[in-house]
Amino acid sequence: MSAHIEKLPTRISAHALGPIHPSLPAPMRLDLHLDGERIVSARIETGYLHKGLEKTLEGRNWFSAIVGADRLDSLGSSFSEMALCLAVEEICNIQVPRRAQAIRLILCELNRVSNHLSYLAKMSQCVGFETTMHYILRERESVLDLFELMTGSRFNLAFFRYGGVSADITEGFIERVFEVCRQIQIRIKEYHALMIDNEAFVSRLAWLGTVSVEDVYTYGMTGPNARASGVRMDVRKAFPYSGYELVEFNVPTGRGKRGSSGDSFDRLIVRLEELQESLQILVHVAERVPAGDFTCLKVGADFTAPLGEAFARVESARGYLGCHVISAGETSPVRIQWRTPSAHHIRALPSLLKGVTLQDVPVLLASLDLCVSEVDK
Amino acid sequence: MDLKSLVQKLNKDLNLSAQLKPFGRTKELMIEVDSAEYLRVSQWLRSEESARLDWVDNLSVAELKNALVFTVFLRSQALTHTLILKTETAFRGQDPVDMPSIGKIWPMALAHESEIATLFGVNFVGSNLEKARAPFPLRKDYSWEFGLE
Repeated sequence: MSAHIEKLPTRISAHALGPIHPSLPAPMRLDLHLDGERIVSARIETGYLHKGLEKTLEGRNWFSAIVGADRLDSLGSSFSEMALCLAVEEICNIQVPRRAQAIRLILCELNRVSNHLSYLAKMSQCVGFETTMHYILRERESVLDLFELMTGSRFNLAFFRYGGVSADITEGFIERVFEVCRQIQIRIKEYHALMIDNEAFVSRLAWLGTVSVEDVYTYGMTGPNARASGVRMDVRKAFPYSGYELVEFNVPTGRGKRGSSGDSFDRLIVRLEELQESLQILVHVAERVPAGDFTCLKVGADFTAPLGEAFARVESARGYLGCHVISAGETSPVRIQWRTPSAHHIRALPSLLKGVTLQDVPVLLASLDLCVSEVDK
Repeated sequence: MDLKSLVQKLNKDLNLSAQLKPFGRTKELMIEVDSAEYLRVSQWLRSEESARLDWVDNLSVAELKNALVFTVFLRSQALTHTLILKTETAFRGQDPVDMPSIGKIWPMALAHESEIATLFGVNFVGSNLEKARAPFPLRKDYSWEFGLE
C-alpha cells in the first residue's frame, strides 16, 4: 500500500431537513452545512405550525379562551390552562377554593409525569431502543387513562375554569392515582436498568449537546434544560401557586455524572429525577385533598373580566410558561400573550448543533424536549 | 437595595421622574418610561450592581389606544425580586415602527423581539432581526383579506 495517500477533495455540503422529516419533533426546517458527517453550521426555520392562537383568542370570549389555551401545547394543556386562569383570576380578584387548587395541582403534576414519560420514550426511540419506548408508553397510557377518568379527555383537557375546575373529583380517581404512582415508581427501577445502567444508551447521550450556564442566560432557557446545566430555577419554588407552597419537594439539577454537566444525559437524568419528585408530590397532595367546593363561581359565555392586566407564571414540564393577559372590561380579552419555554430553547439549536454528527441530530433534538407548536403558536 | 431606592437612584442618575406603580392587583411593581429613554433605562437597570436584574421573564407588546405598549418583565435570578418596565410608542395603520432593541443588554429578549417584529411590525434598531414587512397580523386593524386581490 502506498505510503502517500492522496487527499480526497472535499467541500462543505448543504443538507436540508424538513419541514417534514422523521428525525424532527414537528414541522420545522433545519438547513445544515456538513463537512462529511459533521455539522459546520445550522439554521432553523419555524412557523409551519403557526395557527394564529393569540389573534384568535382576542376575538373569542373569555370562556372560549380556556379551550384555545389547550392548543398551545397539546401535551401540556393543564399548564397553559393554569397560567391563563391564574392571570384572569388575578385581574378579577377571584380566590380559588383550596379543593380546586389541589385538583389543579394534581392534574398539573400528572401532566408533568405524562410529559416526562413521553420524553423518555422519545429518547429511547431516537437512540434505537424501541422496546424500552413501548414499556414507557405503557405507563403513560395509565396516566392518560387517569385524565380520561377525571376530565373525559386524554389530551386538551379544557377542565380548568376561572375560579376553580369544571367538576369535582370522580369517584375512584384518588385511589387510581395512588395505584398509578405506585406502579410507575416500580417501573422507574426498570428504566434505570434499561437506560441509565446501559452503556450503549449512555454513550449516545453523554457529551452531546452540552448547554453551559452562559447558554442558559443567553437564550433564556428554563425548566429541566436549565436545571441540567446546574441553574436551579423552578417557578413552583420561586413563585409558588395553587398549593405548591404547602408541598415539600426537591429540585434536581445536573451533575455531569457520565459526561459534561448540561449534556443530553443530564437532561434525561434530571427529568427522571423530576418524575420521581412528581410522583411523591402527587401522593402527598392526593392524601390531603381538602373538603370544599371545586369552584367558586359559574363561568359562562357572558363572563366579563374587569379592566386590568396580569402576568401569571407556571412551571410547565418543558420550563417557564408565562401568560400576560390584558382586559378592557369586555366579554373578550384585549390581549393574551404567552411566554413559552420552547421558543427560547429552540434558539440554542444552531450553536448546539455545531460539531455534532448527522446521526446525533435526532437525539439532540429529542433531548431538548421542544414543542414546535408552542414556538409557533 | 429595595425597589423604591433603586428607582430613586435611577431617577437621580438619568435625570428622570419615573414612579413606582403597582402592576395590576399583584404585588409586583412597575415603572413607565418614555420610549426615548427605554434603551438608557434598560442599560442602567442591567448594569446596576445592587439590582442584578439579569433575567427577562417576558417581553410583551399590546395595541392599546393607538399605541404599541411594550412591557418588559425583569427579574433578578439571585435576589428573586422583579421589576416591570413599560413604554409605549405611537403608530399609524400598518406602518412599521422603530424601537431600540434590548437584545444586546439581555440576549434572551431576542426570542421575543423576533416574534414581535413579525407580528406587530416593529423594527428593533440595533439587532440583526429582519426588517418588518406588512401586513402585521396582531395589529387590531389587520384584515384577513390583506394581500388578496
